[in-house]
Amino acid sequence: MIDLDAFSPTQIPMEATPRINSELRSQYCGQIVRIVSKVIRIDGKIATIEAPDSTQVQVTMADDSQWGTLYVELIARVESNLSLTELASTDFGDSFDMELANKVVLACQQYRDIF
Amino acid sequence: MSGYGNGYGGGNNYGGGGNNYGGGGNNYGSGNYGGGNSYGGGNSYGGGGGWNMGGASQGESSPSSSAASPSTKKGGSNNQSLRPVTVKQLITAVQPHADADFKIDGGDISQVTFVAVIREITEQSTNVSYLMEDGTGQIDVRKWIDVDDSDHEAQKRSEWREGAYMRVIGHLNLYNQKRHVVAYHIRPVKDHNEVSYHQLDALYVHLMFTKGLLPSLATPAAAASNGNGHSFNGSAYNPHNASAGIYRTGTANGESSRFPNPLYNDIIKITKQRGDAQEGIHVQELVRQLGQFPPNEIRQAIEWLSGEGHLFSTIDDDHVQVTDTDS
Repeated sequence: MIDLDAFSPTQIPMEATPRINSELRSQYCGQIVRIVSKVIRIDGKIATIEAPDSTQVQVTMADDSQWGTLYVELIARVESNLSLTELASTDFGDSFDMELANKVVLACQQYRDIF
Repeated sequence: MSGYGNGYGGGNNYGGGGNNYGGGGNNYGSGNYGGGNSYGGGNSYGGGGGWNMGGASQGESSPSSSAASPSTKKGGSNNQSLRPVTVKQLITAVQPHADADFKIDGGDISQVTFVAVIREITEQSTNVSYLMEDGTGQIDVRKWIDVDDSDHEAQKRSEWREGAYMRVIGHLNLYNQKRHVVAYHIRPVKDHNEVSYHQLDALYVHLMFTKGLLPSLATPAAAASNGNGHSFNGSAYNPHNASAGIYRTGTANGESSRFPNPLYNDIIKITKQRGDAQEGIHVQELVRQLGQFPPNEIRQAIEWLSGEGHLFSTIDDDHVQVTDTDS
């Protein structure tokens, strides 16, 4: 799924990538995060996704990006304009509970000692 | 919740030892929480209810694990707990001294389970090493290859690809000053709600250790020793907010509220009070005594209690007796 030619291993984030939603983007500017996304539309390399808290967000897709399902988990950098730049993705299937995922985001924020 | 919990029943079998009758989601309770009843060894199948957690400390921890070697894979551990964790918890787990078991939140951990993405795969002659991360950190996961592994096993392994989420069940190990997990079992995550579920599962157990049990799940003994742990009703920690089902609060009289469902407690109580020492009690009698519950619900409860080792049938299928008559 990850093209190692496009991303050297050091670029694939191995350290912590906090799970966030759209509202939390401003707290993670310039950082690499995880965000579960519902794919709304794709226009060339720009995608519009819906974050777990039901807000739409713009994503610049990776060159080798291959989103195969309606839901994808992105590892992405939060840009200063709060859009996202994808580094890697994992297909999450066509059926996924976003409401639950948002609760996980909030729980991860609240209990930073284990997340 | 119960559905997911039961999923762990299978996981528990990978531990090597065969004696945990606690089944289902109960694994957490029996080992991890240091329940009052020692489930550690032998055949103490009586009190397998995972929610039956007393105050005493866990009986026996597993002997110090050997270095990374195939023997670890099959080496049975007396501590049969299976704790859901995040990778960060594995990285920050403390080892009191060399050769001691790792501890998380003060509790010994033996087997752990987590959900993480494979980032790198390194095949060696005797094992495959997977570098995995779950958003909270990364850790090396080793799967030993049996020489007599079937093609089927190899085929399964070929499906464990970089970029995919895996469910791992294994043992945290230290080798050459480096932590890694020796995996007993790895399988690809198919329904990705499991990723969400696992985070909450790990959090739930972490909170059990650090804040105490939910009041309604605690036995009176645990409640007494955990007086500070009851400030959680308003939070997401409280599954009672989400659904009723078997998580209805315990009986008010405090008598043997070992199960979260009052019906289960009543069945045990009546069987003890009214049952014949040998023959136990007739199922019809239980149905009659528990007139406030629908008969089919009672039968299902009896079936569950039997399956979990709390009841057994005596002279015929219609007579049941409790497995532990003392408590």
